[in-house]
Amino acid sequence: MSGGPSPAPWLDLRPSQLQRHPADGWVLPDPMPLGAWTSRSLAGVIRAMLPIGAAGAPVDAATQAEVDLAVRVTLRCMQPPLARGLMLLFVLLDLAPMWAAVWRPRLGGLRRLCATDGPGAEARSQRDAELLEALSHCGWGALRDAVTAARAAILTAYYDLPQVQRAIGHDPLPHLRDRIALRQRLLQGGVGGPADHLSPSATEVAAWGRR
Amino acid sequence: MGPPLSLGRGVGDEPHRHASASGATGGSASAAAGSPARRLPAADQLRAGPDHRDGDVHHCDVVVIGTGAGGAAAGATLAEAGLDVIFVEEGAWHPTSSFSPWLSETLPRLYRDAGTTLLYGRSTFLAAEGRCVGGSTVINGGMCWRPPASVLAEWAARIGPDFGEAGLDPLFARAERDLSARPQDPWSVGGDNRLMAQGAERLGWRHDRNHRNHDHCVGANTCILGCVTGAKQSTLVSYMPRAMAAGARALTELRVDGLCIEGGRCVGVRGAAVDRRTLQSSARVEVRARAVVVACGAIQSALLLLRHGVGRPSGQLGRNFVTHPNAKVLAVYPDPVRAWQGVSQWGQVREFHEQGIVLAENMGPPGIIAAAVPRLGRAAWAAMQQYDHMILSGVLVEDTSSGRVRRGPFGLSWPSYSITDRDLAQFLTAMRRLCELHFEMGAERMYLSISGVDEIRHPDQLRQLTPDRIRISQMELFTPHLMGTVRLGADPRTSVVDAAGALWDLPGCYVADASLFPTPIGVNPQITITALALRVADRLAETLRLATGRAPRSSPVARSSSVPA
Ligand SMILES: Cc1cc2nc3c(=O)[nH]c(=O)nc-3n(C[C@H](O)[C@H](O)[C@H](O)COP(=O)(O)OP(=O)(O)OC[C@H]3O[C@@H](n4cnc5c(N)ncnc54)[C@H](O)[C@@H]3O)c2cc1C
Ligand code: SF4
Repeated sequence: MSGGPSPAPWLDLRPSQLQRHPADGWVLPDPMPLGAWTSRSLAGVIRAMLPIGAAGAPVDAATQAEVDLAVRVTLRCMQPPLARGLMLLFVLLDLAPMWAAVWRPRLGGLRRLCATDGPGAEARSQRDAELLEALSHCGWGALRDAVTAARAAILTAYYDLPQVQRAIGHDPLPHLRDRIALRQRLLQGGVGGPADHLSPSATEVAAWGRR
Repeated sequence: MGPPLSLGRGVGDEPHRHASASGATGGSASAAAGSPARRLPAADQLRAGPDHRDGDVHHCDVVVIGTGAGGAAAGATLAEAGLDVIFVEEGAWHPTSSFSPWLSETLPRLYRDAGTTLLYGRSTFLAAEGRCVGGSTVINGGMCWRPPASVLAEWAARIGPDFGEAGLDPLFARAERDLSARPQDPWSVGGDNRLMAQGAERLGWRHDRNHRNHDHCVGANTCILGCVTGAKQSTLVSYMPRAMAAGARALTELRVDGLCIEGGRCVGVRGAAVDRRTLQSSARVEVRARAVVVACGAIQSALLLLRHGVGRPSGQLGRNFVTHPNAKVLAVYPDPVRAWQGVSQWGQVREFHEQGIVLAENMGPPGIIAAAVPRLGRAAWAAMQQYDHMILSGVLVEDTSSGRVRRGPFGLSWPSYSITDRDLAQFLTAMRRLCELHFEMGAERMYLSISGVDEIRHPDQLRQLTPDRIRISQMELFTPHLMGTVRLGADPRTSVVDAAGALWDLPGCYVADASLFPTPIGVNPQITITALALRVADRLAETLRLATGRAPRSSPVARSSSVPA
């Protein structure tokens, strides 16, 4: 692994810090403004989909706010009718404990997903995640697709956060710095050697498998 | 070069874009990409979003809409032929130095609709398109395959020998040289690719090494987020710098929403600048030209032309939309594979290519993998602990049907496409085979992109993957390959443009992108798009040069492997 200063300091910036990109001056679109009800709904669905209570999982308010920001920027970039559809979907999913109670009484209840106060909040979050997961496997295709869309929007944003990636043992930056430095070396006439190969090696891989 | 694009005013609190950007690229960009030349073009050649002024009118010989696989190649060829070229591009010019591994930054910058474009049908699914200078080539995998001989034989039979294997060979060779198509170096290959090759070998299946468009690819594996090393020869770092060196100009963050038609002839385009913060239209701009080249990609080109009611003789405009849909298998191994390191698709399993099936790995960052794991909350967290053990792989199935691009309700674009029952059977066969390969190599479990199918832990479970148990609506498909819609042909009754890419019913208007494909090709399309665009541009250059008697500006340069961009 090559040491020294980062050849690409912008790699260390988090997207939410990129008010103006240092290398091209471009700005991220403004997050979509949402009404108070929809805002709470989105927060509720985010909470139900994040690993609340899992050991080591960053789920503090700041992290939830970063996911919220990324989802709203995506909403801004979507075709407006589709964005409105996704917002409506967040509202419907927020109410899922009520309408799905008929179908899954154990997981339902007279509350919104965003109602997180009071005792037993963590256990409720777990039930909410189970409820949404059950909906994503249900027999009604439109509902399945809806939960899949919400899951993709929220979990993509969550697992994209550097603190979350670190918590699952992933840090892409040293690898990228190493590769950028390797290419610079190659362009200057250097040659790649065994130390530049990516692991696991061909021999290791050949040893895997059922035979 | 045409008249310089004068420096415009900045908007609001933004410093002048060119000043700020070139300042930044002089530092980090050059360091990142290994060359001081890797910066934004000079301000007299590039005008970006905030600098467009309401009522601006530009003049040139040829205006090219779009800077992707087709548009950039066509524009560079025309500029090098001595013509005054203006590119109009809806996305922004993001240099290599600005690429990062973060999806939530990259999707809004480089992808149309931040990656949420949908194709509607029996199973509605996602399609990816680039929206930046370089178009989809900035976010593609760089795989480079010529179409099979059988496809080119059909093209020759439909259109003429120029579109057969021998007729297109010089164009393919030129495109491959321009884009530096070649095999990978060993240090760019990661464990997942080796594992796929090893699995294929054990099963006695053919595994072919890809040629990719690259110059010293080192296996960073951010191809779909913009290559952070500059190795992938997207048009951003290949044809666009060539075009600019030959004097072309570019108007970026400007969305074309109409053609200027006068006296039955296309004489330019008009559009609106895209506000960076709101993505709403702002300043109205017009570009007047002797010829217009439409290269917005298969969906957007069709939508633009549909506004003008052209393509009437055949009624084929927007039809013949083909997509090479693919489905995913996420395999989890007992040992760390670190599939996120190493080039995407060093090779492909091509044992079943004759049946229209290709298998390959294509790992993504954690955000993409999380969307592929059908779990939420703590269960998703538990699964994601094994990110290092995962390989995302896919099956690509050749189209047997086609869809249609239309303008939908509420201003929506409405690309529709449905797989057939036969395709479903193909998908399930292909996914079973891919799972077999992973089991052979010791995978513990797999998640398939089929809703309602839980994780696969034993080969016996693969028996449930049959068309009598799985419905089309359960398939969670994805496509990065959008083709057809403005079919090229020899007969105005069955095609929209002629063999020179000119619209049959709108003189002055040409098409040079993926929408030209007369049929699906069954392989990654970029090099074919580029070859067709080169042909359109060569012929157009000849036509316009004959009319003006102007000499070529510079002969096309053979790219050395280290030419920076
Ligand atoms: C994730 C991904 C992976 C891929 N992998 C491979 C691969 O490995 N190999 C391969 O061969 N192919 C691959 N492809 C496909 C290949 O990149 C595309 O088929 C090809 O780039 C399409 O070329 P095009 O010129 O038709 O359109 P594009 O390259 O998409 O360019 C169209 C351009 O037009 C602009 N535009 C659109 N509408 C307007 C408008 N109204 N006004 C102004 N500008 C406009 C867009 O912003 C865009 O920049 C991949 C694609 C993706 C998305
Ligand atoms: S693998 Fe890395 S270096 Fe190679 S083309 Fe992709 S992003 Fe660039």
